[in-house]
Amino acid sequence: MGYLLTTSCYIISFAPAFALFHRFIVHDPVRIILFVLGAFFWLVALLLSSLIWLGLGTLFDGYVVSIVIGIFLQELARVSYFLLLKEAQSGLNKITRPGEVSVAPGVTDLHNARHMLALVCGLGMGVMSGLFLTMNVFAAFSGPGTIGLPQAIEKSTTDVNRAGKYLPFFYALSALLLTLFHITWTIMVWDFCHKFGRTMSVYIPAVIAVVTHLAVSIVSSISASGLHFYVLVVQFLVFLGCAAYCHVIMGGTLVSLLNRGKSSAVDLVTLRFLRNTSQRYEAQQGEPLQVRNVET
Amino acid sequence: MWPFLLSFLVFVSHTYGISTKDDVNIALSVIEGTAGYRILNGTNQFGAHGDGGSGDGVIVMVNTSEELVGGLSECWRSRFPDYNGKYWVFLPMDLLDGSVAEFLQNSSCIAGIVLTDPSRPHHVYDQSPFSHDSSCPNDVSSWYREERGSCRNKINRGAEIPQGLRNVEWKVLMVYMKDPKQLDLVKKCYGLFNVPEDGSTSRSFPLCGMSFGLFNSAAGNSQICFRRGLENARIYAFNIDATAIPLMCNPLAGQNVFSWPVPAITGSKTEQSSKYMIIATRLDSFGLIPDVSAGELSVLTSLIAVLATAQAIGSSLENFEAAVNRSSRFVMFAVFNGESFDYIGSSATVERMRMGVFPLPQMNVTHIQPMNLSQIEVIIEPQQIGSTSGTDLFTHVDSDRYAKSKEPLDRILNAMRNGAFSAGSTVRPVKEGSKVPPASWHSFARGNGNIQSIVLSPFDDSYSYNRYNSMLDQNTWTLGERTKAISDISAAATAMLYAAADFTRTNVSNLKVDDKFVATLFDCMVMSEDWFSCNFLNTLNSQRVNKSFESYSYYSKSTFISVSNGNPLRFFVYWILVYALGTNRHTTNVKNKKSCMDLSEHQAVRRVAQDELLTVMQGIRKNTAQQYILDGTGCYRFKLNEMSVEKHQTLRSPPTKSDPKFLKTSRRTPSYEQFIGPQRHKNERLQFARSNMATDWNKIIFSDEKKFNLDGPDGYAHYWRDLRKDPMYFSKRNFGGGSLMVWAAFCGNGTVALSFIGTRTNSQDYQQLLAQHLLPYLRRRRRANMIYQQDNASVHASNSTLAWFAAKNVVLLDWPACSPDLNPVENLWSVLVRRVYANAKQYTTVNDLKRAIRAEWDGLDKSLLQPLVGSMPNRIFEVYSYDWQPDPWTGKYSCYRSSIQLVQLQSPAFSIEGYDFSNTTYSTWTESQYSIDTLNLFLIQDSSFDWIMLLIGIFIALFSFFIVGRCHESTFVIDEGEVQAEEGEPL
Repeated sequence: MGYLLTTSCYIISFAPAFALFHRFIVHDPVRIILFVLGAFFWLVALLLSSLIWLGLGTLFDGYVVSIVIGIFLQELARVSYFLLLKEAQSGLNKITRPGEVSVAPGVTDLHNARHMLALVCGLGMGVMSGLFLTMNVFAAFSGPGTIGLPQAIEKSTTDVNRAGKYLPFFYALSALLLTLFHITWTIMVWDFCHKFGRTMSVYIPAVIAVVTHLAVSIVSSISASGLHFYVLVVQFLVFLGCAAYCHVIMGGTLVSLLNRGKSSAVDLVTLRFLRNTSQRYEAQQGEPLQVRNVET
Repeated sequence: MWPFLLSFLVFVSHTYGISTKDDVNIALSVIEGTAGYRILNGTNQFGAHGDGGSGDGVIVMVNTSEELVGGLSECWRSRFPDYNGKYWVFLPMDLLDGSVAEFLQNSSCIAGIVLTDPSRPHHVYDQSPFSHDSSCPNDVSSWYREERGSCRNKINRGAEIPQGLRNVEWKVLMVYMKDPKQLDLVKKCYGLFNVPEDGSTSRSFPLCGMSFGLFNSAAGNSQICFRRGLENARIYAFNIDATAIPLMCNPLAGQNVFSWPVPAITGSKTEQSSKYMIIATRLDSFGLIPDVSAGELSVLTSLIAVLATAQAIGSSLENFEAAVNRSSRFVMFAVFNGESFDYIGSSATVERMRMGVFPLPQMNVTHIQPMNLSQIEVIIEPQQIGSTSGTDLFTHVDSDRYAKSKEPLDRILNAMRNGAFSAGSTVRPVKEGSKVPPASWHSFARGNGNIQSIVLSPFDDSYSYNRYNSMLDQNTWTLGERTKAISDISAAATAMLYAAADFTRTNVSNLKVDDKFVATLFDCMVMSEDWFSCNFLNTLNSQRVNKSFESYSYYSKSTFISVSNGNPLRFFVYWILVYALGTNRHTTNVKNKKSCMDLSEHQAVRRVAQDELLTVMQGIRKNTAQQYILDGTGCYRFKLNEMSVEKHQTLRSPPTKSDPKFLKTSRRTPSYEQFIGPQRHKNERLQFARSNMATDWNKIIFSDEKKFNLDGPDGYAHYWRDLRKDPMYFSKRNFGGGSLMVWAAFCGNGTVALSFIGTRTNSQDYQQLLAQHLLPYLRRRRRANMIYQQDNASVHASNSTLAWFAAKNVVLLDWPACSPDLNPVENLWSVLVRRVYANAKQYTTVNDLKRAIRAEWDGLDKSLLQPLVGSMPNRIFEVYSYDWQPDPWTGKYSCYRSSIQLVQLQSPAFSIEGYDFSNTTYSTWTESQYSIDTLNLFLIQDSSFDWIMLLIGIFIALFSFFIVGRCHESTFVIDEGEVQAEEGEPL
């Protein structure tokens, strides 16, 4: 236990989020703002949930109910964020659309970018929720002690599930998954918001988002009884499902996903990205909306 | 706002089932004084403190020395094969002896040691050597110079190692854990996680561990610490509190109690010829962790003997008084503090005597005769009373001095023999070549070559008690041992009583030591766990001080000098002496505390004691304001606001500790000079007192100036100001709105005049004022030969003004500088201020205020003024202290009159300019300021996975960058054939 461990935990938890942030957000001021706004919306949802929990707590032990309400509030926050963005869009267009006089350097056009924005905002929410999930625990890991003594003294017995040496690892992985989950849920919910009123089938992504969110949360509550590993496996599988579904929402198919996965694996094994960086650079040049040149 | 935030956080932790610090640590509070901190003398640093490294470790509990040595030699590797860190060793304190000391110091796997109560009960005659003092205690300050540094007379056989366990620089942090609840918790944690399970010899993760740390500010020695403290002071020179030098270490300084059954009064014809016998004992001892020192035989039994002697004299005080007044031979009881640290109390007392300011260090006071060293004939000190199973008592004298003047000492020794005999004990004759063991006498011996010593003790050549100055100086007493000890104490007390009677030429027939008193004190002090669990002391205390977890000396029985919070023992000794030697015969008509305090108020003795008590209390209670102000006449004045006086009177408990990481701060005592002003002022006051003993105070016109503010008196609103910030004012109008200077004069027969003057007056203005207001009054009473009193403000004492007085034939009273306390006008002002600002009244205009002051002035009547003037003789003559306290037997309150002083003294080394700290003349002991961490219990987990975690982290990071690198903007920006978004349209 110590600072090394805490550092490792944070690296594991937030490395994917950082990679995404670095790739898609950091170069665009508008996206940075939207990212932070996403985090803010999640915090507001949490604040409201806590108030409701406080209110319910005086009536009965509304643990599960509070979780359910908390999840609904989070989804509601996503919807309200979408509505807010829609309201703000005309203004945003003025600073993002190529050719406008007031276009800011570094920004990318919002046209056709709703999934990208979902990624940005979802990442903001995910990072914040991941941080809240783990920061207390990670802070505790930084000290010499590990979790479990007060409970052990109270119960006069050791609860091995709360004191194993892999506990920090499990925590870090669940934070990692939570961050990524928020991206997929945001893509799903916003797709629903975007297509709202067209057909009945537009409800499907929203329902899937809420159900998986509930499922993941409820499954995680049993991990404290020693099932960390299994819970993580289940959550990971659910995440793969969600990711695949998002791929489908974004116009792909399962086959195309598998193909991309296959080619990635081949490239990884053959170290293509090291072998031929110039090709990768060209691929970037070929992107339709690449605006790097504007910066320079 | 807070409920919101709270609910928010609670929800977060609840919903996600995440743990906070509460799931990791069990915090145990460490009572201040139970952790070993650094103490320093002039040349070295000592003490059980860590080397500043990590304070984490796995707990091991050890029950035998073999277990300890065996474990240390292999760092408990066979028991905890997977663990490579350090250990916190729980050790009964009687296992920490000289033989394991070396192992502990040299071990590389010790994070710290928690000392617990001894593994077995210790009885008083137990011979096991557990003294934490050296084998020749206090040799550096010994009168026998040849012994210094190379002590030949190894008198303390109980010393575990020659230099004493305390005088070792342990590189190991030690904490004493007493609270059984805390210990149970640790034992449970230890039992659950660290004891090998059945059929196994080892244990693996998780393991029960703990952490604790202590940081000392001072290092090296006292001199280095002082120098650094001064350097720091320069950095903080802009600090408003000019006396607050940010010291890193505090000189050990303790409260000493002096009491006179019959005080010698100045002005009586015997002033030069009076002789003194001092019956001395000490108030302090120490242990390896200095505060943890019950001091039963080192301090308490002998202290009880002295208190019993005092009580016996007090119960037949009239006889005694008559004899003393006939013989001019006086007895003083002295309870010195800091004697175990190279005689701090006695050497400071000697220093004061040499300067001519003992017993009253700081005022005009001539009421008790200043004692000088040549007046002291003999010092009797009982030591380690009750430490042998025999009944014999030995007397130790300095054979050289004894040989020079045999007769007077023989007479006293004979009386002691008779006394001891009457109480069933024997005093052995003085041995040839006898030397005085470590005792307060050594300080006096250095001051004067004729002072004789009698140390009365049950030991002969070397200590019979092997736990002298030790954490283990606490015994389990059987009934027989208790009875024996009580009779030993009675015998010693009787011997001293007879000696005192003989010295003062009192008839012994009526004098008897009260066995019940001795037995009660024995039960209250020696048998009990702390000062707060027996009826006698509780009644006497009547909630003035309370048990507390904040400081060890208020939590358990400690006799350490205890610089930071003060040790409450001194209060009990003071109160017992007030009870024993005081009398309520003269105060039968005093029915409440206030009247008693009023009697006391003008008593210089009392004031000294109270001011110093206050200083102590204020050090404890930081919220009270205390400051020194430079008043208009260039004198330092000790300024207290009304609040702090109130706090002192309702004194309840020692410091409050809100921060777990609190700093043990020192009581800031004013230096001698600041407190009393320069020596010149003292002499003037002394002279004043002497020359005015016969003055008719009714003939004096007292005068003074005072500033009145519209918003209320100065000093009602004190606050500490940070000079870096803008000042804040308590009054809405800056500087009290507006102010008014008032001059007033009065005498015993009534008010003379009141006049409003400008805030800046010069000599001419002053003369004009007097011509208008004073001269007419004087002319009307030409026959009365009135004398005018004024203070020595520059305007008053200017040549022009003095010439004016001479021209107008006004007789002036010689007034000592810087003595507002002597002037009754000060009291008149306070009456006036109280009336003018009654009900927190504020005035809107200066004229309103003038009218109010005038009205109140005119309303003053003679019945108020007469007592003020009448108090003048008291201000300079009174000898007594008046204490409103309960009778410890009945609980009935009365006003005790006694001649007693509670004085804080620090070693002269710290008051002497440029004193060389490597010189051993005076004590140079200081203790470092320190801060402590919380003691935490927690589980220690295998850290072998940490590096794997880091590798996993790096791998995941690389992998994420790879995956994300496969995605492009086009992955998420997909042309679904949506129309170009316009205002309000979808993204």
